[in-house]
Amino acid sequence: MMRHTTCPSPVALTREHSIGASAATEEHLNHCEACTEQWAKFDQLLDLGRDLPMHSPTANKTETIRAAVLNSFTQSSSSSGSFHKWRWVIGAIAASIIAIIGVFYFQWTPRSNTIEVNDRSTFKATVHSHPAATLFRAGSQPDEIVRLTGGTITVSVKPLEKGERFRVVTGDAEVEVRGTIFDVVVEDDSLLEVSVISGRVDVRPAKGASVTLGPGERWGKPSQQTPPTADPEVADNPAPEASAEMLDAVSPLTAKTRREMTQSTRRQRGGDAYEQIDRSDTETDSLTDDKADEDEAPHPKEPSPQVLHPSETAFRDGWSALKDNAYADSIEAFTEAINTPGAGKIAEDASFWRCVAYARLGRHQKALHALQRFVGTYPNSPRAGEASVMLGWKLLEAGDLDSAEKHFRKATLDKNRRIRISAEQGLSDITSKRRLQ
Amino acid sequence: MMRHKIAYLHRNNTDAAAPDAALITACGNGDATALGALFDRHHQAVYRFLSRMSGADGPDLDDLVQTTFIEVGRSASRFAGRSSVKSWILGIGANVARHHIRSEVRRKRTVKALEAVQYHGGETPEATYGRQQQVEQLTEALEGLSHKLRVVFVMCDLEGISGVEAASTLGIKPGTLWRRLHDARKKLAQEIKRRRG
Repeated sequence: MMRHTTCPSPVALTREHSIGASAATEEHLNHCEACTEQWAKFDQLLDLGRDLPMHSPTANKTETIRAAVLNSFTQSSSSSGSFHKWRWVIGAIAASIIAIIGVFYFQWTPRSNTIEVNDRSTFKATVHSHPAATLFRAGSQPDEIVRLTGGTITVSVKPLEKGERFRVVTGDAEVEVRGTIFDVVVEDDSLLEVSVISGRVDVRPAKGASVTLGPGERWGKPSQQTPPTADPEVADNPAPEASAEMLDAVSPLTAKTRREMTQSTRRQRGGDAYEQIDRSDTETDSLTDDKADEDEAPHPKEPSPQVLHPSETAFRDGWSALKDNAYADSIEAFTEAINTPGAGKIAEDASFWRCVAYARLGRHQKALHALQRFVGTYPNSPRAGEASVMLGWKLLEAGDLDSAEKHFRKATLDKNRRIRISAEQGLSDITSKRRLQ
Repeated sequence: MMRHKIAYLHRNNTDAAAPDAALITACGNGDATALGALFDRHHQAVYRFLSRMSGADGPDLDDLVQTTFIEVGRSASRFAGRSSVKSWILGIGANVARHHIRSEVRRKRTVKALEAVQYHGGETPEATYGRQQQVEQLTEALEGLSHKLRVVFVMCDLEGISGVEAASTLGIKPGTLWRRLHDARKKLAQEIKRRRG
């Protein structure tokens, strides 16, 4: 049988691995340790790739998206379908008209070119793009998003109904409004300035405090920037004042903990900016409200510097250490967070992650006891199900089937599907073990 | 020792190629039913592909899938039949993902991956953690790849699309695709090794 006398090039080996080894390559692999090792590494990498998270939509969500796609398609078809045969003629005429308008526009309109984004009924914002602004639509109602990577836009948003949102998202912040006219300035995908003409706007930079602006108010990017950290997680972790939703996306803390922390920090500071945030949580904006706000003639505000509770500082240290696989340090920091007076809900989250750190460190007894303490102390924690399933597996490992079953059963009620599946598997294992006994 | 290409996940269904082509033609002529059928047939593959390409989930992923199929409807008349319809749709999805809000998705995913502690029967929690960590490392390494390397890795190695077809979909020569696939694998392996320290 013919075989490669010399090793195939790395690219050729990749190709062979992808399409299947030829007879010659098969033969070569049987005699070449280096290529066999490389081949095995490819297998390992692809095997790992099979475990990458995959997301599937729910049936309801699929129907919603399907309907939106078909609706969009029908609209575009109906506007162009009957003119299908004439599209080139119509296109040429349209191009001529656009060219003529363009000439007039650029000759007679000195500035403030306008791009209407609300070309569909599902958009409630009109976005006036200033020269050189770069933007695109990243979502429609009920969660309308304009992605702005550079330049200035002026946005006018019709009053939103309950459940509807409008946001301008940049690389490092988001601006959310309710029935408002405002300017957003972005440079190099970084938010520089927000000026509110009417209504209210929430500005939520990824780093630093969020703030609610009223009519006439302006937010500017602080001139002193925090030096970037080596840890992307720490760098991305926003201040406690950021919106609950944004923090939900980035923080290891539970949403409940963050809400409590935010309220606690506001009480401690009592600053105007936080007063505004409190009002914006409860008020519904309208043009009447805007008028009243204008009469107050508020002053421009800048976000306040971030001050963390010692328990949160310790928690963040623990989190960073956990991510760096420094489990002993992580345990120490989480313990400090738990024992800090006034830690409140931080202690709950720190207790959970300390369990994880013990498990990863290989201190099984400690992990088991810590988990038992956690599920006993915080039975209503959002992480109770996760802790229960962890505890179930630990107890199963230790041979305590009855206790393991109890915790698996509790975890089967968790809202997280993965935890439920794991718990069901644990129960199945217990049944098998009992049969063997 | 036999070393055949591992059949990863969902391979192209060649039996469905002809109906797909007919559907895309009908779709190009404004037939919404055909687009609906294409959606029903391929939306799960598009979900899977986009979640791996962009790291998105939840509403972000829904938006990307919706945008992809809207673009499929708009571009159907330009389908030239050089690749399968599924590959062509995934090619559109790749372009949509390219423009996605990467930083926001990365922020969300980083913590979610750490929070997603999974346990499987037959494995100890520690072993699961180890596996989970490796998957996290691959996920992060994948996000660190350039778009052109990531798309060939996801298409060929994760979606099981043939190299020739992927090259056609992406508008590159097969040789270029193999080189990119090699570079992608090499960089992923290096990055995972670096993260393991």
